[in-house]
This record gives sequence, structure tokens and C-alpha cells, in this order.
Amino acid sequence: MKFASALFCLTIIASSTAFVPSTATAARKSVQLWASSSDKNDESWQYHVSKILATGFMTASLWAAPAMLQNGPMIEHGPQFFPAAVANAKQMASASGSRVNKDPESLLRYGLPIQSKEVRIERVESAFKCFMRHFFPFTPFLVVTETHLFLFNIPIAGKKTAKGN
Amino acid sequence: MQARKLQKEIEDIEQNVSVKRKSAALDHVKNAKRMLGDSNLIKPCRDAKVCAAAVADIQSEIEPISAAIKDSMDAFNGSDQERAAIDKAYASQKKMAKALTVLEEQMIPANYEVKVPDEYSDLPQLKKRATVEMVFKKPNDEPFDINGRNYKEAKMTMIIDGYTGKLSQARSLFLC
Repeated sequence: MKFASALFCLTIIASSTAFVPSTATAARKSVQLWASSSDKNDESWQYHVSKILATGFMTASLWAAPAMLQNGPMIEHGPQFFPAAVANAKQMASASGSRVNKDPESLLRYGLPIQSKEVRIERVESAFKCFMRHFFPFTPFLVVTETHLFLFNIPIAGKKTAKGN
Repeated sequence: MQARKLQKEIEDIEQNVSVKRKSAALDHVKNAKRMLGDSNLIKPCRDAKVCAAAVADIQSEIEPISAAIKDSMDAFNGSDQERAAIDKAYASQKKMAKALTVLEEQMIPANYEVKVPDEYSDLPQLKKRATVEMVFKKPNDEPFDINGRNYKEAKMTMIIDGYTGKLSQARSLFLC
């Protein structure tokens, strides 16, 4: 099992590098960029590492998609395309189909903002603060704000524009 | 989030009882019972006491609903005994769902507010939920005939949700 998971991780990394320029090229490129302009310093190894991680994640999510859990070639199965992995989703109450959720109280419960984006951000912030307080008690000024969380996913080059500077 | 998972289990009990998938309904009862024992369930609550009471209310219905579902399994299909057992299960499930509503309402952060852009700040805003009860009467006190039974008046209760439509729901309230 451990061997299988290790093999899986290796395959993901290997396949993700197929979408990303090789490290040698990246290094050369970054050197050239540093030589040409000091503003491009941001696009160094962090940028390439984040790119590799992003492609690795994309590959993993594609491989873990329900359609990929199929045994054997998909075309031969014809209409029985989706396996039992998505049967659960089919049986759940949804906005369409025969199992529409018509219970008004249930809908009102789902409408309560206990899982909204604002609440989630608040939770992530408080969890991070708790973590920092626990492990780094002498750095009381490090605080992650909502803005930091949003800017986290934006490429370094576009961060200035996103901040509105 | 634990509360949402618990909600799914509790709502699926009713769904499965209604289509007479009784074993599946019992499984959902077991899952709900297991989730109620999780200490993380009431962590996001504003008032732990209210949440603990709501959880206790749900827990108190676990045994009655299990017994009712088992009774309905023992009775013949379509018999009066099965009908009575299913009705008991429905009643228990309703109590559980009501307590669950109380529990989830306690999980809304105390300072939760949807921000409104400045250009709309002069408009009326509904910050939480409002309940409007309407009573309909026919002219000359004529009754409402529903399935052969006469009713003097008809009541309609609306819950207007300010969490999802702060401005538009406030406007609709102004029309009432």
C-alpha cells in the first residue's frame, strides 16, 4: 500500500513536470530576468515551485475524478459510463430530477450562513492565529488578514494590480 | 462541517421512511447518534448551553425513532400498525429537525453581517430573518372549501431571509 501511494506521488510529480519548464531552463530564465530588470526578482524559485505544485494538484484532481475510477476502457461500457463512485451523488436531493428538496425547513436550514465564505475566512484566520500563538509565541505582530488570503492565489506579477496600487 | 453532515443524516431519515427504505433509515439514525457524540459538533456555537440542550433534544428522540422504524418493519406492509409506527417515526424526526434548526441558528457568528455597497446604504436592510403571518378571509365570511372541509380563514406564514437578500427582502417586507 505504501509502495503504491509512493508510486502514485512519484507519477504525479513526473507528469506535472511535463507541463512545466525544466529546472535548468527555469534557473537560466530567472538569471536572465534578474540581469534585465530588478522588478522581476519576484518571479524566482517561489513562482516556479507554486507553478509545479499547481500543475501537480491539477493532475491529481484529474486522476481522482470519478470517470477515471472506471475499470477498463470507457468506450466499451457505453451508457454505463459512470461507476458506483458517483451513485451517491445521484441519490442525493438536488435542485433537479425526481429527488428535489421540497422541505421548506430544510431549505431554510441550508440557507443559514454557517458555511459562507465570510465565515470560512474568519475560521481560517482564527485557526492560523491560534497556530501561530501556539508555536511562535514571541511573534505577536504576525496576523493574516482577509486580504492576504485572497492575494495568496494571485500570481506575484499581478499582486500590485490586485492590491489597487 | 459537522452540523451540515448531521442535517443530511436527519433529513435522510424522513426521506427513507417515506419511500419505505427502513433499513437505510435505521442506518441514518445510527449515523446521527454517532455524530451527536462528537465534541466538535457544538464548537462553533455562540451559546454552548443552548446547543447542548438542542443536542440533548435530538438525542432523546434517537430511541423513539429507532423503535418506531423497527415496529414498522415488523408490521405487515400497508397495515394500520405500519401506518401508526411510520407516523410516530415522522413525529420524532420532526422534533429532531426542530432541535437541529435551533442548533444551526446558534452557529451563525454573533457579528455576522453582509456588507452593502455605500451607494445602496440609504435603502432599507433586513439583517436577519423576519416572519410574516398573513390571514386571508373571503368577503361575507364565506368559507374556504378544501377537500370538502370548510375553513373560515386561511393562514400563510412567510419567512423572509435577510441573510441571502439583505436589500431585496427588505423591499418585499415594505410591500407587506
